[in-house]
Amino acid sequence: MKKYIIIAAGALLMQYAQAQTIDRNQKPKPGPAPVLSIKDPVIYNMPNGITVLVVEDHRLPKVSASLLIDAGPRTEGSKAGVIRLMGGMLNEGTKTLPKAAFDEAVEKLGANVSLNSSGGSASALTRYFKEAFTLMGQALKEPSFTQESFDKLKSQAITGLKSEEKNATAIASRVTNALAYGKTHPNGEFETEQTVQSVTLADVKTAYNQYITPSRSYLTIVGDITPANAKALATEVFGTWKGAALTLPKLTPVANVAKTEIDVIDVPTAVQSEIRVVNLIDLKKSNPDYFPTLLANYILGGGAESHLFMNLREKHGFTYGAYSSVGSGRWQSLFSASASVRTAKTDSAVTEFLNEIKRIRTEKVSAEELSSAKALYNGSFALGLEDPARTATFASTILINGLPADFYKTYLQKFNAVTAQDIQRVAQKYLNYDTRIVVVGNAAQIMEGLKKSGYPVKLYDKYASPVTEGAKAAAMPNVKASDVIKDYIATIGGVAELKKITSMQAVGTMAVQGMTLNVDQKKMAPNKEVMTITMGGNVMMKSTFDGEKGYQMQMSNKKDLVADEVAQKKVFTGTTEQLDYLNNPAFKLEVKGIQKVGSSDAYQIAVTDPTGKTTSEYYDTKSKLLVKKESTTVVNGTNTVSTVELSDYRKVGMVMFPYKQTITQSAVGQEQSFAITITDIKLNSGVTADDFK
Amino acid sequence: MQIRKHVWITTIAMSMLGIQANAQKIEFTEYDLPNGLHVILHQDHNTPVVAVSVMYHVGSKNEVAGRTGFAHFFEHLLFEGSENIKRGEFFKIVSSNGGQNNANTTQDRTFYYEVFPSNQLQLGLWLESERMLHPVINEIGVKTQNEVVKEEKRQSLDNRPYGNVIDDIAKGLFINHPYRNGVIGTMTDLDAAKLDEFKAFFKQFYAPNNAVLTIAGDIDPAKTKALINTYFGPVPRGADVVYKKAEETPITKAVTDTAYDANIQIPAILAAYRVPGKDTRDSKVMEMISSILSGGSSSRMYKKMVDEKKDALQVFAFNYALEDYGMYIVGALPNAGAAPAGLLTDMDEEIKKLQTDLISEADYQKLQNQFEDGFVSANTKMLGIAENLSNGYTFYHKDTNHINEELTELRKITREEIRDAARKYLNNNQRLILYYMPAKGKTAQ
Repeated sequence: MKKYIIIAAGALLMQYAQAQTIDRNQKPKPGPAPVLSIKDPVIYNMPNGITVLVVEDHRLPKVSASLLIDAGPRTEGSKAGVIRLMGGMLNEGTKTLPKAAFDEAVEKLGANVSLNSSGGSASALTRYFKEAFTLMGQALKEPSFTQESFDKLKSQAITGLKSEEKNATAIASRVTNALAYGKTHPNGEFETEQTVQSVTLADVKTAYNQYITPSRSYLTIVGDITPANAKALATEVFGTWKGAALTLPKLTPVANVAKTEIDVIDVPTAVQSEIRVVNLIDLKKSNPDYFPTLLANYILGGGAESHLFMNLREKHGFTYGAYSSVGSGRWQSLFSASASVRTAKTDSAVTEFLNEIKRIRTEKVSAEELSSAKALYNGSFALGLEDPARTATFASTILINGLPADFYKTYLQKFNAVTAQDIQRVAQKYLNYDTRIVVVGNAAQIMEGLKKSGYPVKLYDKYASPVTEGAKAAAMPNVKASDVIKDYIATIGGVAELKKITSMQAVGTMAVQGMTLNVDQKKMAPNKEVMTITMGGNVMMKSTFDGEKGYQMQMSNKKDLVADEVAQKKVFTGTTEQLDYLNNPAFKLEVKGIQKVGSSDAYQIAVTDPTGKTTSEYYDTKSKLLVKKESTTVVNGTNTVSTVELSDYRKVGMVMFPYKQTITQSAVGQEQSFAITITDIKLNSGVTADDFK
Repeated sequence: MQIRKHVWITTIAMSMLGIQANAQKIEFTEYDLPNGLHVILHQDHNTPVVAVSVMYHVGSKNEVAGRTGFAHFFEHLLFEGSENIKRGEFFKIVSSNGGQNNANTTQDRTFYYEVFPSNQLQLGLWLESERMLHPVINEIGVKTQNEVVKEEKRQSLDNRPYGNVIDDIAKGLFINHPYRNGVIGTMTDLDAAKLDEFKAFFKQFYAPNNAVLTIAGDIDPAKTKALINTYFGPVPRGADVVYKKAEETPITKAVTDTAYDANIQIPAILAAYRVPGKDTRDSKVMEMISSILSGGSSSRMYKKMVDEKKDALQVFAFNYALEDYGMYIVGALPNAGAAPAGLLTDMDEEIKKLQTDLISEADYQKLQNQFEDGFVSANTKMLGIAENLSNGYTFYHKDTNHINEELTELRKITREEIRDAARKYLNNNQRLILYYMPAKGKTAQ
């Protein structure tokens, strides 16, 4: 059965310019609107709950299948990450085929098979499809779930989380969802190292039993196959499959903020601010507002001709791009307007976001804007039909969302009927002006400006927990910088003990994305130092200073220290730098305030050395220990911020040393982190002047 | 072992059944306009969509020393507008008429395209003919795109992990050939270029006699031909493009080099070999070798290094096939502290095996299947078909039908040829070994 759709964005489309009357000075008019035919898939219902949708298309000698298990939003709680791990485990071999044999069986056919936590897919040349599809079924029904695979995937997941720890974009999306939906909502909860770490293989098996099931499943088969053959194959592979019955969760509606507020997350190393303006919406696809809301969103921020882009990028140059998006469906979803903006323009960008939202709510969009937006939807609908699987997606979307059968057949008609009044009405209803604005960036540089907006500004940490503003109070703490240093010296062992240290050696390991590097640091009074990093016995990096000269070397690339660097190192007279801070009057110390380091407060001390170079050091207000150092250097013309976080202080003899050092380098939007774990420290033994050559 | 035997038998049985199953044939018509523009038309009425594309046979290899980056720069410049398209309007015209468009540049050619609902065919032809006939090349456009290209270079090469790997390899493998310059060129060359030089470059390379216009989709051929005539007929023919391939002398002594990348934390070890250009049979043989070494998780290098020894995070082997030569690149990223040199040994062992033993019949059949699947998937959309047809004409001696012959050619390649190509091209004394390392300032200090 075929139904027809006419693309008709405006009456102009019906005119057809004949070839002989062409005037190339004029943009050509479109030809008669093409007729779009949407062929309905053949649908079978299997007794175990699988709905099979078949699109027969013999253009290419290929068949593909995909299974979608409609479990709805799933709550993971303290085991967040378990479902993703479970999906990964489905690709690690079956009860009868270990991973290597499974991979070989698939690839021998030139086929592709992959599984995930809500189903999977298989595609192959027609003559191999049956085998590929059978392998997909096997992976889904009889996963091997070995401990070895689980350990591998879990460590990969943790590495992945670590690599994103300080990524402002990742923080922004996590915190935005957590604040908008709440941390216990399936869309608001998130994975942390802790939650992933707590997942066991048994948890994965439980999740598998709960969620991998024929219940509420949609199996789509598209390509060079008859519906009868597809049905027979689906029955052969999945007919006897049984599993838990799924019921969709009932979620309590979450309310939006009543008044505009700005939620700031401090990422001191961020070189741009991530802005997200969000509110929750309840927009089912069956709602007549669906069509005008999509168009309203497009005109506001859907593309490079939209208001947000034209304002924030083209007019003001705050950003490389500003966009908005709108969700829809059975559950609440987000309207979100977002951009990564220059730190200095953060508050101005927030103002312009609000101005544009206000504008689309109060001013009617122009006829030209509206017809362009409609043409874009008409075109991409037609272009999308090149993919034969598209009509199956239409059919399953209709079933899942309980839509009328002609939903996609009248789709463009409904778009084309939208008026400027409709746009304004839905903008007022769904694109909130009283809204939540999440800003992730360098709080020290953006807070003042944001506070001037007059909206309440709240601080949250990277995991969406409120931070008490008190800790960030602008008031200077009533302490002297020299006392902070003195307290530190006393705490780690005292002047007398520190002066006894003439040399030291610390060895440890450094983990870099799954690789383990060996680190060897040595120091010798007055100011000799060397650090060597090796991997599998090969020296990867070495930096050394022998009191007069030094160099840095990476592989065979060697660079001598320049005069400034030598001068900066020569000012020290012993292995503890802080003693020189107090004894050498050429050092300038200044208390800059109290900042959070991890979850504790620390005094920020600016240390200016005799050569004029300033670094920031952070001393914990309670433990008195040095917990962080921060410095800026110019590498190849760009600013690089290096921070070293120090923790796990342990006693060696009479003096305390940090056994954990996390080094972070950030420059122009990029950031890399390395954690060094010290395994042994020796004092006054085994180090000679030759070590620093 | 029981399992493997079972699979093996099934595969043979199926390969016998499947032997006569042929992939689809792509039908087309082609002709030249009097001005030399080659036109290829492919009709397909399944979806009311049309792809309009122009492939200019100009890439970075046509640039002269001191003026690198021109071909790619034109990829940007030709969106700046024409005598009838106002500056900044090109993209807007496409999207507000329901279309999608873009362009890309390689060492050998530049490809511009639009995909529209089929009632906008005329608009697509107008847009492409406007920029071929009379694009606006002026100071403001050059200045604007110069900035954009610099951002693009930062984004896609300098700030992207492993972004400069191909350029570094090209520098090592090519001494005389302009392939050594990379596609995007140097910014100092672009900064130094004068407006007249850009205009001269356009005149030299963007003439209809150096281009292929391919239309694929829901078209009426007679009407389409008339429209093409109207829009592209008036474009004047240019002087013949003269291109002389710069010959390289064979590499006889291995070169070892180190490059640094500030964006990476994990080094890469690469071995690169110079191989013949993409129109040769050996170039296809090298593609097959790639599949054996690193195509999928059951490939030889992946299985050995990632799954079994676990000393690699990732492995790859591919033929970067170009018109005059190819760069054959084999490499790996180390895992868990593995020494890059050890990975090289692992890779060399696999190459040695290819040089010594014929691949098994089962592996041979697997290759056939993988290439057939790849071919079918490459021709699913109108844009892909348009590009593949243009490629045939541009790179396979005006043989547009190459799209239909390639798979047959591949099927004729024997196991012996695979072994012999490995022996001929993948020798230790013929290569560049590149250690691609994390750069200073990004690792610990």
